[in-house]
Amino acid sequence: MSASVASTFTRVRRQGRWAARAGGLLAAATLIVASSASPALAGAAPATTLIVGSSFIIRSIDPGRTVETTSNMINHATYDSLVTFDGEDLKTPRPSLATDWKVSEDGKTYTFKLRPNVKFSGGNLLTSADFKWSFERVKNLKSNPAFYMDPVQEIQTPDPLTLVLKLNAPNPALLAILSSPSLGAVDSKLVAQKGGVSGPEAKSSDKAESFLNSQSAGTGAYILSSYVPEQEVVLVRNPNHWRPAPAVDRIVIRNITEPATQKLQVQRGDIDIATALGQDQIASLRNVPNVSTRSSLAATTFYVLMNNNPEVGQAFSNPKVQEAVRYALDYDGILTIAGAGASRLAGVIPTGFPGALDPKTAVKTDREKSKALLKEAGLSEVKGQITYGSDQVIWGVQMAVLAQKIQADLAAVGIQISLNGLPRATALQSYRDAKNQVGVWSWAADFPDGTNFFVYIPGRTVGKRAGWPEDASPAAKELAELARKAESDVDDARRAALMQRIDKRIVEVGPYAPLFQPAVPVAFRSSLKGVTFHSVWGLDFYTISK
Amino acid sequence: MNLLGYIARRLLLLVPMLVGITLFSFLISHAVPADPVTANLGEQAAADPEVVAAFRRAWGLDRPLHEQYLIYLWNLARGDFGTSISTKQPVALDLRQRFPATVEVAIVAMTISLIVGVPLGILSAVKRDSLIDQITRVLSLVGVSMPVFWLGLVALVVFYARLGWAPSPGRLSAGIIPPTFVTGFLLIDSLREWRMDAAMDALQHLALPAVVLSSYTLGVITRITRGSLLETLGEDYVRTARAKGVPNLTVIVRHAARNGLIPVVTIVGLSFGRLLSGAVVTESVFAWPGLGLYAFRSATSLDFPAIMGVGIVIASIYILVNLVVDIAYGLLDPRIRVG
Amino acid sequence: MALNRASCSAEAMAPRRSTAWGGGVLRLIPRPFRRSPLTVIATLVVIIWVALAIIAPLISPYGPLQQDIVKRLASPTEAHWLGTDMLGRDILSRILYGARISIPVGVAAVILAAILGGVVGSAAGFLGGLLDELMMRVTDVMLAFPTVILALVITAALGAGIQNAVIAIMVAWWPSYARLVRGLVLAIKEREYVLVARALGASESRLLRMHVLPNIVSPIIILGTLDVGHAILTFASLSFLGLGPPPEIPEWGSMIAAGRDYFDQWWIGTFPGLAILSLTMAFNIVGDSLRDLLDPRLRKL
Repeated sequence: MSASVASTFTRVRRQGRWAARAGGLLAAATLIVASSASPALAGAAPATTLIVGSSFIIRSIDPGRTVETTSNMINHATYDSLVTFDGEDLKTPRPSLATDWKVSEDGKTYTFKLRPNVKFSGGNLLTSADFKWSFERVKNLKSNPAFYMDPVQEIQTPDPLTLVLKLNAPNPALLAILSSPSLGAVDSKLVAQKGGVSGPEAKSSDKAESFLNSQSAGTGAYILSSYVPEQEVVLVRNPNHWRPAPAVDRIVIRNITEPATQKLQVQRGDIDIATALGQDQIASLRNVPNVSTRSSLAATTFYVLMNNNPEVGQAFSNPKVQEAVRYALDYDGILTIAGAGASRLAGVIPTGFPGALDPKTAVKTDREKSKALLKEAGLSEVKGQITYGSDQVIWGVQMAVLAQKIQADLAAVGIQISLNGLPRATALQSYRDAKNQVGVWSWAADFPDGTNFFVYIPGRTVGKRAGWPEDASPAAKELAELARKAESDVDDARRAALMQRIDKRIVEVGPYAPLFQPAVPVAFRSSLKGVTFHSVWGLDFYTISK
Repeated sequence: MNLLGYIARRLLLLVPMLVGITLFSFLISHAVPADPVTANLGEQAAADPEVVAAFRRAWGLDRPLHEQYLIYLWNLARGDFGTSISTKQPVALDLRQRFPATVEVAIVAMTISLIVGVPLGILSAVKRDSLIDQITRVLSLVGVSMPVFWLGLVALVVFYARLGWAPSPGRLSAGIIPPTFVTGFLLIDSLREWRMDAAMDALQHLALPAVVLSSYTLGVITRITRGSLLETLGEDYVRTARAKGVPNLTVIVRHAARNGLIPVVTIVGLSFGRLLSGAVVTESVFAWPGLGLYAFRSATSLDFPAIMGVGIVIASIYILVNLVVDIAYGLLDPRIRVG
Repeated sequence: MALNRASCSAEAMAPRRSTAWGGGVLRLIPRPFRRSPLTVIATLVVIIWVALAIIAPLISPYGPLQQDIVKRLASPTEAHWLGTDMLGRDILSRILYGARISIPVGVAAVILAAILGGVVGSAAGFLGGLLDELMMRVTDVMLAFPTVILALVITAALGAGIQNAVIAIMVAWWPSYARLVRGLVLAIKEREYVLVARALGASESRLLRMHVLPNIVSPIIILGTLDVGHAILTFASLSFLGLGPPPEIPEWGSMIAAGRDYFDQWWIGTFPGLAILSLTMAFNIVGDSLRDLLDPRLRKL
């Protein structure tokens, strides 16, 4: 073949190739653009659908087995409890399935009158027997919410619409505890059929978890329609609900792990509400049209934990070092990381609860004092390790970023700590085993009462994790006594004053450095109405309308 | 006979390989310092030793190691991969739900790599040292040198955040009701129900992850094709054909390409493994609910049954793909059949 | 890994003349380097990065851990050429210091894998028999695991950190080197000069030392160079997934991961990625040219 013909051939072929490729790209691009521009092609969604972005923390949706935030949000919609709190309120319990209640003089007997003619989603009628069954199941499953039932000694059902709870000792926090979605009324007949057991053998013989993970058995405004682990939860309206129908018929809760993606999606309108944004993402959403944000304070304490046990804490078990740490931290900088709307914490009880201290009285950064304290302790250089969940983002605050800030702050006074970021699972275990030398963690209220934060008391949950048992010192013993007194005191004013005293003392002598309480980072399309975010159970879907 | 014998031999070798893989997975996932038990119970429950003991008993974690392995093998043979500690579902179900997602994006990525890479490679070889060739070589070099996760993020920022061309990460838009799960492959399942909206939506969502994932294999295939074709183009029989006056196109397609593309077949098999590896980071960036993301999540939450399950499945997919490739290679290259 | 080996470059097609040692310095530069400006640029890039890594403490405007909370998430300005991250740290400084981690890790991972694989592979190839069979089976199984999956499980088991990540990469890669070296050893074993040496009565170890080893070192070096870029990428991937060094360490992969949550502050994730890309590309080009220079036969391996 002659050269010129060959080259013409090649040129034509090459052009042809280019044309083909360009055509292909054009076709593909048109396809994509055309599809996104024709919403009419989208499958017809039934009536009103609410799409919620969340970052799933779900091990189980079975109310008898869970206290996680996401599960709480789901169960708050699908189950009703005896009492509840409106909107974001943490103070005044309101009637839910209990229309009225009386407390005995000694504070040890609670009598609840139940709402008549309430049907479960499956059709059965609600009676006090259902509550008794549900409560006993929670207690006997010995799973995460079991401790809620610790104050209760006996449950009586004198008639189908009356429930009597007898307590071991007066517990003013009981109503707050009873509002928990985990203590909602479960359809005992239906769940028993599906393998649910409430008796003492429940721990080993109850088989209802997989049923309850795929379908709810409550009286709530919504029914759990499907749950794909790590992906999404779908709720549909409960036609048998005892209140007037909610505005939204279908709710899709999607697991979107990336805060940046959630931000874009709510900006675009791809999702209606974003509940797992980072504090930094929320900041940039405040001025975006069509998007509203909420900034109520979360009932959660972020704190630095040091180990009082000399074997684990080493230098950090020294009270002078602990105080030095409290003075070394740059709280202004830390609050910047906590995001706008965050509040400094002077004690371990968050603002909004009786017993909380005024943030203005909180420890202020004083690096000189910190260095002086270290010298007093006879230590020129302190080394340690801070443990935290490397992938944990709590209320939009990345624990990894917080840990790095703390590391830099402590380095400024001569305390060298290395970062021991572990995946959430491993980090949690180290924390629970009281093996953290230093750690940065948070405690979220399980129920809306300040006494929930007594976990910091020596010998209680967090106290144990900090290696601070009751007999550590006379001061510790005194604190433990005070806590017991406060828990059973029925006089509100006296209790509040006592709790404040306890809170102050915890910070003075305890191995903690309370940091802040963040604002809940929730953003939603401005066209939505009735969006509230409660610290314990998140969104209340019943009140939302599109 | 020889080809059949070859295939039979490869299939037989499959069994000990799979057993080896299960043993390996088992050993690796048990060389873990931390205890997954307490990680999977809530704050308060983990403090109760009774609850913890019950949990360990339920998961067979209190038996000696070799017993655990044998129990595991026995269950595997019956199709039971154990139950995931995180999702509480049977691992087999978890894998079944997620495996189509990964395979879907991997197949599309591989297809893109082949459809774009092979012609580009041939063109590059034929037009050696021309501008096309230079650009192709640089682009394919970029493809094999670029961190896939970075490309994914940049692509997301540009095409999703800034331009709004690509849909949000995930397999389907939130407003679309997914088709009934039959195969798990969204394209197939939606078309089965004549749901064009779901099919289009799924395709749109597949586009960006598949293109990003294909970057590495695209680069490799382009380079291999080019090099291989350059070799064959220099061979005697090609020069002879040209000298005889055979049209260039025919020379390329019938003589050079047929032999030159054989190494490409092998590469397809090997790079599928790379695709599966790349899937871990790509799925992480695009929130793609596939095996890669599952592998990552179970590895970091110390979910033993899940780690073993996903390791075995991914390795098995890789072995099978390579088996198919080897057979194809055997069919294409007569030397193998005879040898 | 085999994919790198099978890639190719046009330089190899050029007929090779014997080197002429007279007439000008330029003639001393090997052919592939002279023919392609790309190769020259790539070599310079590698040299520059290595130099930057070495002098980073001297030229960085800020320390890599230096936080300035007030200036967090600042876009590129005069004060911070590449902007700051979510803790107010200077991105440019962190990238420079990051080179001090990525380059040594890439090189170390490859060296360790090559040594381990080389030893096992040459033993298997040389000694043959049961050991050989065993090694083949073990490497078969290990090669069936896609690298990142294997490295993922190993790092998750051992815990995050630079050392464990390097170990994970080494464990994932040594089988490839072992297979390669075994193949080379088997080929060489049958070469004439080995047979002659054996016939002349040389001991096994002498054979190994004098004849086999020198001939396998060269291919390993070539493939090692090609793999350094790949090692840097794999290590960055592991860091991206959170399995590398702690977050305050300026490792490029984890810097990109930190940038995930900040689409608006694009500089946090983009620049580290460009660093990885440039370094890996440079290593790949240099490796290609090295192979073409020393042994074009390896193109098809």
